[in-house]
Parts: sequence; C-alpha cells; structure tokens
Amino acid sequence: MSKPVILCVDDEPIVLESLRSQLREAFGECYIYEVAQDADDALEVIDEIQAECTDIILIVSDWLMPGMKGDEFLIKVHQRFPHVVKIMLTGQADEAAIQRVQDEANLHKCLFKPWSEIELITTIQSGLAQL
Amino acid sequence: MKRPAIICVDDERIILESLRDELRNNLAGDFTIELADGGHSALELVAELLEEGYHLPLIISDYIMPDMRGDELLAKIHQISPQTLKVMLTGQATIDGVSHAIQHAKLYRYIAKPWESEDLKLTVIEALNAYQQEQKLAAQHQELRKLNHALEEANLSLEQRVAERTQELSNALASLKMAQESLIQSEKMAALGQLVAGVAHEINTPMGAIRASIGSLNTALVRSLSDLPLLFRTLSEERWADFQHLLTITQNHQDVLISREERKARRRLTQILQGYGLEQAEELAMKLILLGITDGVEPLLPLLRSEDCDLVLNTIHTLAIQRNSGKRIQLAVEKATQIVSALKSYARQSNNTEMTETDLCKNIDLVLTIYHNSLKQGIEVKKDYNKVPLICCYPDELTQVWTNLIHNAIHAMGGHGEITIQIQPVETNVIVKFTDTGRGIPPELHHKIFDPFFTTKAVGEGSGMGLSIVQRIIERHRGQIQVESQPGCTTFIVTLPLSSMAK
Repeated sequence: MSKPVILCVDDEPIVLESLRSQLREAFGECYIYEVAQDADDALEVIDEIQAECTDIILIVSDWLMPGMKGDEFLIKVHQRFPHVVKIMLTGQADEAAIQRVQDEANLHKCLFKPWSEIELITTIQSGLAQL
Repeated sequence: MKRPAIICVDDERIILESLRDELRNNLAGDFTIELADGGHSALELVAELLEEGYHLPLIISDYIMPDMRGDELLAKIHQISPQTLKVMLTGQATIDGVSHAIQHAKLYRYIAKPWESEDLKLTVIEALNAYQQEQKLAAQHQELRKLNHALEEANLSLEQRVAERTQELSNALASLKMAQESLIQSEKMAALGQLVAGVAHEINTPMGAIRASIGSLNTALVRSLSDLPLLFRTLSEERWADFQHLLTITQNHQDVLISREERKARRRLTQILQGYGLEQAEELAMKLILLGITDGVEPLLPLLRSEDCDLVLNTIHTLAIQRNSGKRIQLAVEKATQIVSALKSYARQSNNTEMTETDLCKNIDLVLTIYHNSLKQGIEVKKDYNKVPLICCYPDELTQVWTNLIHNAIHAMGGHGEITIQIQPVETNVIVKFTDTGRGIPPELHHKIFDPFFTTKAVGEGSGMGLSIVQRIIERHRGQIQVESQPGCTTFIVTLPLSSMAK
C-alpha cells in the first residue's frame, strides 16, 4: 500500500506546479502529489490510482476549465468517493456553481485565486483532519 | 328675397304708365316696376332702392327731360349702380347724346319712340337675361375668389404644417441617432462587461501562480542558505563532483506534468533502485523524478548509497525549486502582461476615430486573446490566415465586429464546438469567414438577424443590436456581411475592400 494521494486539477501548468511545490513544502513526503490538466484527465488518474490500491484523499480543483467544469467534476467524484475531501480553487466566482458543489459534493471550501499559501495549507489541513 | 326692380323714367306720365303696363304684361309679376318723372327723382329712387337692398337689373330712361338729360342721368346712375343695364328711349336723340351715354353709362340699348311693343319686350327680356347672367358670373367669380382664397390659406397652413412636421421629424431623428449611439455604446460596454469576468480569472490565475511561486522561492532560499554551508564543509571530492554533475543535468529540467508517465517512471525507477538493493527506493525514486532523472541512475549509485545522499539531493532539489519558481513567475508575468496589453489596446482603440492601416490577423487575434477564457472552455479555434495586405480601417470598430461574431458563435454552440476563422485575399477584397459548429440559423430568420433589436437570446442576455451594429460598421467600411447557415455549420462572411475609403 503506497502513500495516500492528493490530486490537483487545473488547466494552467504554472498553477499545478505552484500548487505541487507548495504542498510538497508543507507536507513533504507524507503524500503523493498528482496533477491533472482537466476533469477527464483527472478521472482517469483517479481510476489508475484506485487500480494501484492507493487511496486518494483530497482534491484541489479549478472551477473554470476546458471541458467539464470543476463543479461537475467534483460532484462526479463525490458520487463514487464521498469521503474524498474536495476543495475548489477558482479565479472567477460563480455563486451557483459553488452552491451546487456544496450541496451535491460536500465541498470542504472554495478558495479564490490568487490564493495565499497559509489559507491553502490550513484549508487542506482542516479537510484532512475530518478524515 | 325682394323682387328685382325695373325703373322707368320719363317726364310724361302717360308714357310711364304705358311702359309699366307693357312690362307688367310681359314679365308676369317677377319684377317690381318703379316709375320716376324726372332725373332727380330717378336718382333718389335708385339710391333708396339700393339702400333697401333691391336688385336693379334695368333702367329705361327718356332722353329729353326738363331737369336732366337722359344720358346725363344714366351716366350718374352708372356710377352708383354699374351693374344695372341702361336702355334709352327717345324720339329725338342726338348722336352726341347717345355716344355720351354709351361712353359714360355703358348704354345697353337705344329704342326709338314710338317703340314697337315686340321690340321693347325682346329688349327688356334680353337685358334681364344678360343681367342675370352677369349676376351669376359675378357670383361664380365671387365663389371662385373665395375658393381661391381658401386654397391659398390652406396652402399656407399646409406649408406651415409641413414645416412643423419636418421640424418634429428631424427632432425625432436626432434623438433616434442619439439613442442609436448610446445603444452602440451600451452594446460595447455589455460586450466588455462579459469579458471582465473572464479577464478576472485570466489575471487571477497567473497572480495565484506568482504568489505561490514566490512563497516557494523564499522557503527554498532559506533552506538553501542553511544547506549550502554544510554542503561546502562536509562534502568529499567524489560527492562534490556528483553534486556538480547533478546540478548540470537538472539545469534544463522542467517539471514533468503528465501525471501518468510520471507515475510509471516512478514505479519503474523504484523497481530499478530496489534491484540495486537500495533502501527506501520509493522515496529515492520520487526525489530523482522531481529532479527529472528517470533512468541512467547507475553513475549515481555511489552517491545514492552514501550518507550524504539526502543532503545532496535535497540541496539540488531546493535549488531546482528556486529555478523553477523563477521560471513560473516569468511565465505568469508574461501571461498577465499579455492579457493586460490586449485589454489596453481594446480600450485605447475605443477612442480612435481615424482610419489606420491595420493588420486584420492581429486585429482578430486581439479579440481571441480577450476571449481566450471563454474559448478554452470547450471551443477549439482553428485559424486559417492567409497573407493579406494591411487595410485602412477603423480598427476598434472591426474589433467590435469580431467580438460580436465570436460571442454569437460561442452562444450558438452552447460553449462547445469549433470556430474556424479564415482570412484570405480575393481580388480587391479581403474575405474573413467565421464558421461555427453551432445549431445554425433557420432560413426564415436569415433576413431578420441584421434587424435592430432582433435577438434569439433570453431577455437581458442581448440587446439584439449586435449584428445590426456589425452590419452598420461593415457598411461604413464599404464592405458586406453575409450569412450561410445549416445546423452544425454557420458561416458569417465579411468582405472588406482593400482600398477601403470609409463613408
């Protein structure tokens, strides 16, 4: 059994790199940090991780992405993995979408770009504490 | 209405009476017959009758009378009642008298005494008819004059009404023009407003990356500052060489983002490292992967086995974080700069009212940059740009055209599909085609879509002015816009003349 996985989803490579760098800095070798550039890609990654008998415990997802948007993606994930902690990270607030994820995917928190490191890390910590 | 009066004047009573009798017999009581025995009494009688409103169609006067000659009397009566017909009756008139009467009294007839009864009758009846005709004509003339006057007045008031109406219409036109201008402006602002939300995301994304990267950079720097002295102090010659070697091979490495490959590489490397009998193979593999090392680990084995391994790998990694953070910040700044400069030229152009030579490809790309955010949601933009000369145009207005066409295309496709933009020179024109894979426009609406206020969008989503303004702008450039549409393929074809002399 490998280490649990934290998955970041965003269509911007620089955002993914920045997130991964921050997570690694904060949580070191406790987790494996996976990234995906869109929702479909992310769903595949989740399947593969599952196939490797590895647990995915937390997802940080952008909302505005090509193809499937963050709200739809997180709701889909929630239907299969209700225990995964879901965090949305968006540069553009769409109240209805946020509300939907809260209602249908038990959204842990919605963060706004540009996010602060402290906020991101404490949000992840508080999410993981619920597990 | 009083009966018309016929006046007979003679100084001999007997003649007067016989005249009266004859007239009465012949005229069947339609007239009043008045008699006067001399010039003065005749004048008095005439004045009296006129005052009482009688018509005086005829006067028959003797020529020789004691107080006044007949021609003299008739001339005087002519002055006060010109319309009355005058007949002179005498046995011994001079040529002078008759011609005087003709000249000054418009003598109608001269009858010699003793008169023929039939002659008198005919003369009188004829005179009365003539008078009646005259009266009728005068009445008609009067009527015509009235009509003419009324027409003139009507004409005058019509002119005035036309002038008033013209003024009203030109006022209305002026306010319509103002309304149109403000609609164009608000359409522009609406388009801009739609963009702003997307632009916020576009800018917040690189901002987030910059903020995060600066955090990483600072933390890594602090760590480097504490690691490096230790490294310099404790590293052996061999490990120092390993360190420098690693530094070189990681120099150009950028984070590999494809998760799947990375995972595979990690698994493979873990197995390889386990094959070499290394402990904590998975963590080591992870660290090497982070540095971009996926294979060829054999030369590194001495390092990996040494006790300085963690220190060296961590230090290299910390340096790589700083380098990568720097690169990310650079990329993010470029991204933000790009979107800001696109916005700036969008705004700057808005004040540009002069025609300038413009590169259409750049003009369209500017809009694509601003719409990048909406487009990347599920729309593939295919560009088929052929080389076209610069064209003289109002770039900001054309920007508005492209903005509208792209916005409509996104709307028609529900945010998912493909937009093909083709630019090509054809004879003396440049043709720009926007093709989308949206639901299409039904044929019966083709002629309506350019009408002001025509919209298929929900209330509040669009003013319906977009395409109407687009058409107006294209026409200002002496160009044309056409549409071809079927479900799944709608093309807006904009033709702009190369030598565009705007209206």
